[in-house]
Amino acid sequence: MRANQSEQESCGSQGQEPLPEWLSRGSSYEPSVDRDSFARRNVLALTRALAKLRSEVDPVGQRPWVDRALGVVTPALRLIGTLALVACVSMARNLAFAWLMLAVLLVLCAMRPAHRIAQIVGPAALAALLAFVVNVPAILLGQASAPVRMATKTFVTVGYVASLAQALGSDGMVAALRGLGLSPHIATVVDLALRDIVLLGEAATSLSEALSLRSVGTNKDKTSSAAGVMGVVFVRAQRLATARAEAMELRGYGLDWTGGRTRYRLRMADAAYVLALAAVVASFAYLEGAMV
Amino acid sequence: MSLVEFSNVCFAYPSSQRLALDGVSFTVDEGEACALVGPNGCGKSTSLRLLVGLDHPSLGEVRFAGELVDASALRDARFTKRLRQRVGLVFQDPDAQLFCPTVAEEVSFGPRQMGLSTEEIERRTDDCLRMFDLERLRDRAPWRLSGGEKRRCATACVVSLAPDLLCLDEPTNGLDDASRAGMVAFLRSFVAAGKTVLVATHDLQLVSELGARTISLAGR
Ligand SMILES: Nc1ncnc2c1ncn2[C@@H]1O[C@H](COP(=O)(O)OP(=O)(O)OP(=O)(O)O)[C@@H](O)[C@H]1O
Ligand SMILES: [Mg+2]
Repeated sequence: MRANQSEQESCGSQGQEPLPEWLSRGSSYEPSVDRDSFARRNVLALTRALAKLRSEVDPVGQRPWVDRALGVVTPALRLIGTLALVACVSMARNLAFAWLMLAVLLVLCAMRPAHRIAQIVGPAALAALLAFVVNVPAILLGQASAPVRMATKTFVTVGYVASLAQALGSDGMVAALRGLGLSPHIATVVDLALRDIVLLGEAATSLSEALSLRSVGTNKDKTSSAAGVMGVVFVRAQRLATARAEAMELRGYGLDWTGGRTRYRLRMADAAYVLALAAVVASFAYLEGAMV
Repeated sequence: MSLVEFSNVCFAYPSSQRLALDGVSFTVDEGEACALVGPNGCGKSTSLRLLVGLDHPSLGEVRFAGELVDASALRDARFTKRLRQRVGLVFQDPDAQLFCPTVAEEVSFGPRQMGLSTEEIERRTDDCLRMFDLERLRDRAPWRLSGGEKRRCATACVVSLAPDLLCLDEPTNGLDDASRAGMVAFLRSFVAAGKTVLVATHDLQLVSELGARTISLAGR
């Protein structure tokens, strides 16, 4: 009876073909210590960090008051504002403006819950680190301050973009892009491109987890498997992005259902936002002028 | 007149040499429940993509409500709107079709695109969340749901468009007994309401529970 039962179990669902011996055999394999798990662990850590970039939006009631206040501002305007800020920070020849904006960013961050702060500061710090490293050679060319300057600017710009992306969420981002008058198709592409950075992270995480589950024992070829992972990640991201664009289209996205966008009316919140933005640009002009 | 009409449809994906559909013909009448069945790779999902106009036949015709579904028809915005509103497709892979920050926003995406009134959007969203037992999950992120929850969510998102023809690709995959029963009950009442269902499935029990007419696509 017992033997009979176990025989039945080892047959596939078709009930004819027995499983190959290597598969039905109980595993007695003991992996040797993997000294080279460094590469694998790092791919995992990096991709987990990327996956965190995916912005989740809290229900309105749970948002910090900054986001609730800013939430009333027209998304398109916030997008313009953030772009203007990024442009000012990148153009600034001295660091005073970047430091000022950094201070504002940190104050805005401080009002958010811890996991939200991590989602803004994490990517910004990662990007800043990269900018620092990339600019180290500039020291040899006599530009001793370049790494710090670039790292600061990168931190500030990425920080603002990340916090906007987090506050708007993907849906708000679509609204913002369309509010700028972009054609629905361009808006989709830009929006998907923005989100794909995040998708990539997620796909890479699941893939490298799959890789680390399969790579038992000592594997000499970690770099090539990591490269393989990244390759598959791109193919998948592309496939997913296409599928998602199709799903959006099928659910009516990109068609002008109401006939013409509703006319824009200036609201109090928008006016306040524009004033704040003007103050930022004025301080940019003042600080840049003062240092010349 | 049939609601859906495939006549002698041939189709090959651009990246492949093989025909994914080779001379497929079938019809689906209004108010019917039909099931596309056949082995893996026989072209069930592909047929559904052609029906909603994501791809177009290289030979033969696909018609919906008597109108040709092809590239030139889809350039007409009025036709496309009508098609999008009347035909809903739930993909085989639920992951690819969830893209909003919360389940509730996901379900209301279609109605919002269609510019419905706020009350109507809310009513449809609440009803769909209830019908697919998603109320508890309404503020959760769709990509953090379980496989079966994702499938229910993806279905609710398409149902919220109130289509006349609901196409579902493997609707019972990954559903537990309770969710499966819920899905079957929903589809039955959908058909009882005079609407049309076209499922692509391997689940023969589902076919009999729906009393669906089978359309077999021959594999090769
Ligand atoms: N994007 C694609 N590019 C190239 N070939 C494809 C693509 N998608 C599907 N195919 C091929 O087209 C054929 C039909 O695929 P389809 O997905 O329609 O099958 P199916 O009947 O839905 O199968 P299943 O039961 O596994 O879901 C298959 O041979 C498949 O390999
Ligand atoms: Mg399929």
